[in-house]
Amino acid sequence: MAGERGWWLLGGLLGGIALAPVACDPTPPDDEVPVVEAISALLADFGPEVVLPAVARFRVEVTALEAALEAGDLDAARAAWIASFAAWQQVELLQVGPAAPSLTAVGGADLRDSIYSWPTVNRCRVDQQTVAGGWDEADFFTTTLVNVHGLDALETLLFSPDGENACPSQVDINASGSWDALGSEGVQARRLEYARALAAKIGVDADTLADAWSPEGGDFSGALAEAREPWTSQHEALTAIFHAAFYLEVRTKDHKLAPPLGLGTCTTGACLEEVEATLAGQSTAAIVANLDGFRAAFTGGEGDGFDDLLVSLGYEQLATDVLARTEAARAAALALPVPVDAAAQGEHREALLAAHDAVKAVTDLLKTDVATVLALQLPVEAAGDND
Amino acid sequence: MTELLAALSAVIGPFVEPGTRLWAPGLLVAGGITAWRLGPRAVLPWRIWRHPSSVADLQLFAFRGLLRWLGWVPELAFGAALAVGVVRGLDAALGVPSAPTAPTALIALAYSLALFVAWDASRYLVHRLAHEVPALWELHQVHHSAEVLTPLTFYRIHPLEGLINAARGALVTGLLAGLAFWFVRDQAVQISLFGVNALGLLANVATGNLRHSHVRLGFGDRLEGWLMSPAQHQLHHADDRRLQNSNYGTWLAVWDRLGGSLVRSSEVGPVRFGLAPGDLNHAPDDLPSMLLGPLVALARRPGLRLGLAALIGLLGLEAAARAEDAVDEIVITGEGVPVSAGSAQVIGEAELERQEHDDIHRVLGAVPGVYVRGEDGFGLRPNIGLRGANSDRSAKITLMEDGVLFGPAPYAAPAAYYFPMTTRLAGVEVFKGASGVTTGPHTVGGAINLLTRPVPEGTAGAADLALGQRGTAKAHLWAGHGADTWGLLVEGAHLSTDGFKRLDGGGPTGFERQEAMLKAWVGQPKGTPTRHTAELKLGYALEDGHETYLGLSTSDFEQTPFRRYAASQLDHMSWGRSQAELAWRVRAGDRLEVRTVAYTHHLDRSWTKLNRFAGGPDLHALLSAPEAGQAAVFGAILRGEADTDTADQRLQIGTNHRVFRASGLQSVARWNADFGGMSSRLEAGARYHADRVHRVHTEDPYAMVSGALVRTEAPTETLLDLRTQADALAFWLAEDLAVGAVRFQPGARLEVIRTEAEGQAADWRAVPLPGLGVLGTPLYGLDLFAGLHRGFSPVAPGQPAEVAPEQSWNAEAGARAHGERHHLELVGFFNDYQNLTGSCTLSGGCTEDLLDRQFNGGSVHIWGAELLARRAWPIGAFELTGQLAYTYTGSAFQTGFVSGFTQFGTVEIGDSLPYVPEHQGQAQARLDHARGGLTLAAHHRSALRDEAGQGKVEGPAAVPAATLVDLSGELRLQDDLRVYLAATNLLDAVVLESWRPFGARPAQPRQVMVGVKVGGGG
Repeated sequence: MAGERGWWLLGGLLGGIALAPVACDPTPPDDEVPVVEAISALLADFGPEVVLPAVARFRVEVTALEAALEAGDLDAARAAWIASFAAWQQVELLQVGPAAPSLTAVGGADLRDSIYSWPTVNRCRVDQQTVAGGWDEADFFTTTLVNVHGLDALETLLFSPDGENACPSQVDINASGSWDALGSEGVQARRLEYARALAAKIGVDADTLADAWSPEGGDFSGALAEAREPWTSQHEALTAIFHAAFYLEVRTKDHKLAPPLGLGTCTTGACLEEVEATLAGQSTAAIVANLDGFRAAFTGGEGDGFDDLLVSLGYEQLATDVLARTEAARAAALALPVPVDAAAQGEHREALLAAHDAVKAVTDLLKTDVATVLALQLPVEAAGDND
Repeated sequence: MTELLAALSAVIGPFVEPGTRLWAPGLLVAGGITAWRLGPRAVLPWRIWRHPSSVADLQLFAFRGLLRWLGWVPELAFGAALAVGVVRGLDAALGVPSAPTAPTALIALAYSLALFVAWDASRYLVHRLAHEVPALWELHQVHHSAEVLTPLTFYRIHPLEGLINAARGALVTGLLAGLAFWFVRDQAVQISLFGVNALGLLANVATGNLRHSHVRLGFGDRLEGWLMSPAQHQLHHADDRRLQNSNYGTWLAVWDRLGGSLVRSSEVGPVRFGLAPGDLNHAPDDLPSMLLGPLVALARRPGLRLGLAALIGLLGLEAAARAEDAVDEIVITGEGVPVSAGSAQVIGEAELERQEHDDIHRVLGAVPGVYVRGEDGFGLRPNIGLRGANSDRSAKITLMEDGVLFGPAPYAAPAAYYFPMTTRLAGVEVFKGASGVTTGPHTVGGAINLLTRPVPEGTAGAADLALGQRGTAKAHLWAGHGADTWGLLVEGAHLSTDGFKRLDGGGPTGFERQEAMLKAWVGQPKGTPTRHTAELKLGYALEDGHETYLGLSTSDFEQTPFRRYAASQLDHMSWGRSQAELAWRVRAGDRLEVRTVAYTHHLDRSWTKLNRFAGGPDLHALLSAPEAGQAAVFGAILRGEADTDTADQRLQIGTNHRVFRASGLQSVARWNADFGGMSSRLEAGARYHADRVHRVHTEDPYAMVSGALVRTEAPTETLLDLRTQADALAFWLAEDLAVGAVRFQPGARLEVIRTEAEGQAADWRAVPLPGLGVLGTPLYGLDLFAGLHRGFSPVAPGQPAEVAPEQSWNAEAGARAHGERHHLELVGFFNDYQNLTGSCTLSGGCTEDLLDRQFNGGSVHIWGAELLARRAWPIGAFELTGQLAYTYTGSAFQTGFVSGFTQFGTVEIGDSLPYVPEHQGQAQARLDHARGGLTLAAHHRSALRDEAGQGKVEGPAAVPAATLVDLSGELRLQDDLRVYLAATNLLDAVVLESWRPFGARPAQPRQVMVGVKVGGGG
């Protein structure tokens, strides 16, 4: 046969190729991923040094709130709500794991929405619920939507003008006269009663959140530190913390500051519908607290954080710049003498714009240099931003 | 096995690359010239092809291909780096020159000519050195030991010499490209055809393959002083040492003239090829000797041992030979390329009428290897996939009606938003495997050809009227007459229903659809030896439906599967389609038929539907998981149970208005011939097709207020206003050659596609698609077949640069046993995708910002087995038929990645494809009698993944396994009067069909239709 040796050679070669996967171990050895100590330290400290202290501070304020409500002292309750609100605004930046939405987050359990559901706020619904009652029933918090049982609902109950409700005239409580039938005192009594139930439930939520993070409880801190179940990798865990810090971009800047200034998606000059805590006038305080929360997330509180990670990678100046810009933004927010809605429409508009720009200066660094240096992807909401 | 197949692919691969001499058009030209000069029989003379020297050529060619595939030949792609270095060096030394003022085309021409000349001169030089430097001659003599010349002899080169050639190509190209780029910057673009230098390609296609052949083609004395003719190169292969040291040139003869080595073909008589035995360092027909002999000879040369070691270290140059072949060597060898055999199924009119389905998904359920994904419950916009090709909007398969593409824009926007009504179809053909190469552009899975009613012979007509539950009504009428020289058919069909879903707060959920078709022909009388006929087909179709993309949450689906949320109350689809086709058919007896058809289709559709919340969670994610926290508020708004309070909670109702026009001219010739105990059926086709698509997508924000959608004051936003287009030339050639009990079915397709999106540069691609099928009939009634073909699915216009076309090698093998009362077919298939793509559609769950984006899925393996078994038993006046169609499919991604395409998501190696069932089948029992019949069919498919993954298909995102049973029966009261009953989903099973686009979608509940048919035949 022509070229017989050639056919044997080719056949042998093909046979070798076909059999090679059988003869050799097809599984390549696991890549030895070098453990970056700084990442491990960041993950280990995030629970005990950042989340748990912030939640504990919040719990202290909620306890004071519960006590004031129990005592029927409305003024003290309002002050305690303001303190609780400010404490919570720091935790807003720490929505990793149990606080985060179960729909999208690793380990998410929706506790944040249960404690505070802004911008999903509906004062009329709270007023309707005030008339309907039911907060003492066991399933109240599972059968109603989050916009009637968080800090936002509590604000409506504590800060609404006496005897007034937020519903249009055609809504049942006004159309049927059931609101008026309660009378101003009746409304006040029900609001107080409802507020007690909410404060107690928020306290329970705070305990649940603390317990979920506590090493003695759900030990989410430990899971994060070791990047174990429900996490699949250190990278995933680090990305989750990074994305949580983007609250400063997608909520603080784009939701709390930009619309009142007529920026971004607002096309009517000034969109004030979603300004936070307008009844209590705490919108500016929320921004300051957000920046505090961001700083804690970035520095790891008393422990190791992104700043240490950047330093370990040789980007000390970047870490310094982020912190300096955060301080500048905080100063710009503190310089606002009035709430955001008032500033947007009055003489302090420039100061509000300065605060917006100062926050943007922080998030710009976050979106570009920090994300690049750490090779972390931006959250979808922030990635689509064109500013 | 996979590795083996991939290795074979690597060897065969060069046959289809335009930059190689094996490129099909070049071979066709060579064959044509040979047939012209020496007669057709000389094209493939057996004495030459079976000569030991030719066998050795083939072996060395295969060996080098395997070496390359194994990666044992290092990459040698220093050309680009060299060019960059030259540019930087010149910039630094001489500065950046000012841009020339000459026209771009002139610069391109000059650059192309310069490359052509430089390559040719350098090739002359290296070739001459190969003869004159003794050490190089030890290698080069492998090429000269060929005793007969075939196009494959070009590749009869020692692997080490291949490296030297590659280095030369990279060096010259890099230097010249760098110089040109420095001088004219980005105007240094060569004129290319199919991605390679046009001059080189033309030179090679014209005569490249004849240089190594037995066809002595000279150019005449005068021209041979300028251009090297094939005959002159053949003299260079003579066994005469004096002639061997002449005619070193490739394209131009001027170098030999200058070097004093030119010999004109008229100066020498016939020669014998090869080398004298005393000159050889190897046995000329023995591969191991050809490989080792030169090395041994080199090793014996004092002082060259060191050089040899260095040469071996440069093995990488060979790899570049492949790349350089594309740019420089342009070497075309090889023969025809493969198609056909394999699995093709036809569902005839009798079968379609027997089951009386109005949903094409049900019809195709009886074909193994076809996957369908329901969406609206009616099959209005089918999702059909073949052998693992993604089923989304049937965009990965070639869809034809009477052999003509019918998709709205098969190249530019392949999603099939239009599909002909099932009730008026006269047949359905499904082509899988290598048989699909004659159809394109999508050849990864296969093709579906829908057959419309032919014009009857004589006068005939029929009416089919049916009524069913939920206000469903169907009417289908046709009438026609066919005479000796003309024929006419008119047909109309109507289908409407109130729908099976109940909208929160009330409102329509049904649809109404009409189609009309007119066919006419005029022609010469039957029996005319060469008969010409002209055929006209006109069609018009309309749909007005209240269809939505919005499904249900898990909990709502469990409780009220046929509910529709209030947020879908405005959803509405409407479209109109017109088609016109004019064909000319020439038929010369049974030997030859040519049909040329010009066609144009126009589809104008507008779909208004809920796209998303302005902010808040993605609808698919929201409805796929238990609702909690703020997500519950968004869920309540969808249901109309809560009002919109914030800007985030606004419901964005989008209107996607798209206008498609697809036009083309297609000509297909079929030639049957018998000769020397063989029979040949040859099909040759060509098609020009043009797609034009204009998309205008807008969004209006609505608020949910007390269960009603109320337009907010925010303005309408235009998300997209884009025109895209595609122009494509396709050529195909398929042969079915029967030699005794074996049929060889090689074929090839060439798609040349130009796509363009408004505001972006046009993109060109030329893709050769070979296929080969072999079918043997060892025993009467038993067929064994196997096939291999190239799979391809084009890139739509306007995609990011990184998006690659879908490409694969698809192999199948099977056996078919058939007789009067039985049919048994078992086929195994294996598809090796080099790149599988995902395409974002709203129906697939993608968001507007990613709409129509394509995503690379990388290498994927898909394999499976298909079984079709049918047996009939006569029982008195009855006949009982049992049929089983079963498909097993496995798939595995070969790479891990994170994709923006939601159905891919985070992919790990080994993950299976989404929406491809591992098991699916249909069992059918049929009882027929002269007066009627009864058919019971059960369809089953295993669970589906909503996203790529592995392990057991479970969890909240899984689409559970499902079984549906259909029953149909017919009673023939008179020959032309029949009553029938068709019950779909007889057991009223609640079946989840899909989680896409947004949430759980149910299959249609039990639907019983009762109808009457009058007339028929024709």
